[in-house]
Amino acid sequence: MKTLLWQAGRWRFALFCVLAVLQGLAPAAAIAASGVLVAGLPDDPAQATLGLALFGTALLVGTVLSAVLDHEAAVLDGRFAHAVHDTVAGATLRTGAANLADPRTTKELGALAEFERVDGFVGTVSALKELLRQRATGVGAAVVLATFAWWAPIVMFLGWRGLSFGVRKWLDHGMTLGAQQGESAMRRARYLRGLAVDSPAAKEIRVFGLAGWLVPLYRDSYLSALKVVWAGRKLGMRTVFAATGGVLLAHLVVLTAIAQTTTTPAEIVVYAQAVLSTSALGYVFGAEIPLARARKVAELARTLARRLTAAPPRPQVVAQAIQLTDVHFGYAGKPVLKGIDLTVPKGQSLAIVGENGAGKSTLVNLLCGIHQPDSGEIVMPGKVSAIVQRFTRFELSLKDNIGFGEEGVEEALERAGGLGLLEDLPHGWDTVLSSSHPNGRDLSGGQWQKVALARALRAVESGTLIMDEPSANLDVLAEEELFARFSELAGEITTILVSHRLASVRHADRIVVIADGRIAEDGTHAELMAANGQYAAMYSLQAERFAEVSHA
Amino acid sequence: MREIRVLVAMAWRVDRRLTLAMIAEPFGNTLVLLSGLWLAMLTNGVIQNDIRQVVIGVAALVLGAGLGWQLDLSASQWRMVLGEKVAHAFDTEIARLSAELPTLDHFERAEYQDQLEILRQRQGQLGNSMSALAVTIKAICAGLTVLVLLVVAHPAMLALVLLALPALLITKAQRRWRAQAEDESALPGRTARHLRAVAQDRDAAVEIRLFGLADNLERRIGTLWNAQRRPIEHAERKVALLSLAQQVLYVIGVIAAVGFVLHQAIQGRSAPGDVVLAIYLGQQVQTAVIWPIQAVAGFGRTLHTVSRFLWLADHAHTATGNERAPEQIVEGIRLENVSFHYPGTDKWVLRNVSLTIPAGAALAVVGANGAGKTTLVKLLTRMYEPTEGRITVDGVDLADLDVHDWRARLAAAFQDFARFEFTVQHAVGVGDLDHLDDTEHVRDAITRAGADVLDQDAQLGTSWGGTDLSTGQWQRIALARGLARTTPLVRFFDEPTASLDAFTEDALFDSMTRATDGANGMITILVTHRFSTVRSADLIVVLADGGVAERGSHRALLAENGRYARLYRSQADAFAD
Repeated sequence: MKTLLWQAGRWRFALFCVLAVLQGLAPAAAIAASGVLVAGLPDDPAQATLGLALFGTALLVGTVLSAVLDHEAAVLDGRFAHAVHDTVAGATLRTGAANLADPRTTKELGALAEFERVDGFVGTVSALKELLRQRATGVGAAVVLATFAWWAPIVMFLGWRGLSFGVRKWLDHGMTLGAQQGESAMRRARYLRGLAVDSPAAKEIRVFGLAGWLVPLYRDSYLSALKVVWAGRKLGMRTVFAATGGVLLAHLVVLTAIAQTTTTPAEIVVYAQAVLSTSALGYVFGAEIPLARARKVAELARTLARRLTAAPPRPQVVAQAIQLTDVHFGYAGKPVLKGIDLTVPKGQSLAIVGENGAGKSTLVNLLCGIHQPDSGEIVMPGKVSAIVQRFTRFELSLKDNIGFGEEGVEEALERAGGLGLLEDLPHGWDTVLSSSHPNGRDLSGGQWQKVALARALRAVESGTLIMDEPSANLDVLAEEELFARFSELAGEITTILVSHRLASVRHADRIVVIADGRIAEDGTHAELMAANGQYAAMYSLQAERFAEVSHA
Repeated sequence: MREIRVLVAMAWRVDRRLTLAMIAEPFGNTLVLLSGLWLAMLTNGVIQNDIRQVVIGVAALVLGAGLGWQLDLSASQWRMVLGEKVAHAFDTEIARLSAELPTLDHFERAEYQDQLEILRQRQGQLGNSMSALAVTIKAICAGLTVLVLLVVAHPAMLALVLLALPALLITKAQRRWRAQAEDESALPGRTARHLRAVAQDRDAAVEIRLFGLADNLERRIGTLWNAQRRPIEHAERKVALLSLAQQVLYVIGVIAAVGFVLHQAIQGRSAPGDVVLAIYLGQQVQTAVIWPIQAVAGFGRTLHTVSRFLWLADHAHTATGNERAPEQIVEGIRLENVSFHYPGTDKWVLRNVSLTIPAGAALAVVGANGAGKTTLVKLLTRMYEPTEGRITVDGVDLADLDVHDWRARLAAAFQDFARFEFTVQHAVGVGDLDHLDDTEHVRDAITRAGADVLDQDAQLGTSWGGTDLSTGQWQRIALARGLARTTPLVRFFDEPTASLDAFTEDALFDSMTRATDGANGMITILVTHRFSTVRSADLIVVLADGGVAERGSHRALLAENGRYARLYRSQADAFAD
């Protein structure tokens, strides 16, 4: 946590801590001043007035410090949260993409999201201020009390620490979803809630009338998570009862001693107030819980950052061809690719076809460098650009969705056949592509695809362009246009197309059929048709649907 | 006030005992506040050598500190549990209301997004409101106790309260500043949150790495965060300055009050103990009088969440018609001069569309991207209501039908299908809830969708230790779901094969055109770009520029030699040798 706080602003933070301690000492000063005041009673008005002046000063200083600290805490709170976000985003943005699928990562990110939901990570510094202030007050009171008897602050300290220990025990049991079952029930609850309230599933929820089925599921998993927490909390309460007894005892011992041994009212006032103020050494509710949470947040962020090391950039190799040698790959021990050998010379247009689940998308992931092969070797010369099936819909302007601030946006959109989009957008290139933005506008599936394509085209330079089902959401004309552009590109750059639309695939220089994790067929359209294998069967099936007219 | 009523009623419903405890708890808290009184008694006892007062003073101080603490702790436990229970009840309600909102209007509207952002994102928010209410009650009780003690010390000390009153006005202004700042930071906040989610997203990871977006996104996230915080920090600065002015004034009042009682004591008109009480109260009053005011203000802020909830509840109860949906379609569905634009925009997506779909027909809707095909499906499923014109089923206005009843007679597979991370059985079975656990029924749907590569008991989604599917496989699941209801009145297939391979697609077209036994006049509506699919449809409608450009059978349209014929031939030619 320290590193993150430090990151939030070194000197500003240090000064802040000093001021918080000063503010905490103000009450002790006020207590001492009240002693001076009472000592002047009833016969020494000059001393009493001096006491009053000191007392007032202590209060005023405390008040001014409090206002300054409140403001500073708000600023530093924001910076701390920023540091957390920065650490997490910095790690997830740069690590190997496969790491993000690691269940540990999912879990840690989920836990962080859960913490964020509660306070958005803002509140840490305010809590720290409160703790420092209270502790300073407690220490001040202890010092005052030590002038009565050396052992008195120790007795009080032990009493409050005991209680603090009990409370912490109780919280350990009852605040965290430590128990595995509670944690997973809560995660499930959040998932179900997302289905119920967010937009992706909204249409199906309505058509199939799922609300009445889904909501009770949500209610029950949420409740079962809470029950785990409640059970734990009950358990811890016993320690707290015991510890409270200790606090009572400490008060009794010290207060009795004070009542027996002191004679002047001034002493009584000062010492008794000091005794009461030692509670600041105990558990500070408003501060310790948020701080414990902040510590966990910082720990999670650090763990993530440490494990999600930045992926080394793919070495730029000088080669004339894409080369895959005996590539094997599997998920969780289940083999998907079982020995792929493939050489794609520069400038070739290659199409990959196969049934759903044959391993096409996995191969694309390997070519993009998202996964590393379990065995075998992949050589990819030059830059790789791709339009993936589930491309990202950034809630940014059209311009930024394509170029992210770089040049060449207009040309890319033109090449993607999407300049017509601009007519629909109220602010042209600067329109935010999200209907939840004022003046923003969401695009249709096909329009989005053009944006994603433009994004890929802008980045391709002279390397390889991979297109994974790029025309799934495009209409006929747009699809034709796209493949016409695709053919234009071929020659300049290497293109790899994954598609079920065999009418488009047939124009590729070369077609490979993936079946059962291997390359089953490899050749031009004419060659594969002649071979009369799986490709020929698929092609005929699609062509037959047009047969009537074609020969009419 | 309605907000408080709703909140308390909910608490009372979920747990009466805890609700009562919550109301009783503040009285326990007064134990701690009475410390000043015991301190005064102890002082007087020592000065007057009165052992009785000393003993009572010490005993009460000890008890007050210990029990007060214990009670405080127990109460915070009660508060937490009650808060959690209330949050649970409200969250369930929010999920229900959101899922039951009859239309999808709300997803399109920026103002809804802002209104419900917190409700949607933050599970547990309304529990905080409950805790805040409890804290407020406690604070008010504490304030009252201190007032009584002030009278005990010296009635004149009540004047201090007058000095506390400006705090009320100030708090109001401060609340306004904070609300304003919150509004200003909502938009950058939302975008920042979106980009942070993107940064962790597995799908987005591919593009982020290929296009080298890491630095760019990181910079944007930082900039947006600052844009979100700036108004808040600015508001906090103003809040702090104003508070400072008020509090300094107040502290001066406290000093004057202590000075006054001191003067009285020196004159012999007050006991020395009263001075002690005044000193003690002086420090207490500062919190005890300001605390309730701040608590009320804080509570007001959380009430904002409750009022958002109420807004949702009201919004969800928009009338939707209450006539029963027909058991069968006899004549057909008619669109009469239907026009539509999305809420908050003024661009017509459909303009004056009139169309009759006869009972038992298979209708194919084709057209370019953005021609309004999907919108047509959304209107027929009543995700939106027509802006102008009306849709009738056998002459009855669709808007007069009970929306849930109507939808119970529909089936659909959408282009942007949901990925339900349940077991395969349930991911498909939810398409026909009556047969959710019917293995046979679901297997049948799975087979018809060609999705039988997966085990029916298999869990989907890696988060639950299940299988991750490819887009094509997910689409098959969605299709199976769309085929689960066997005798709907209308079936919608909105680009159902976009990600499917040739074999599956072929099998599917068969099952889409077959299975129309005509007994209940079932209508099949197929939206597609693929002209190979549409040939066998009874009626083909070509949408262009928000209107019907052509309509007729495949043969008739080919003969017409218009837009359809041109598009069809261009696809067919792609296969020609």
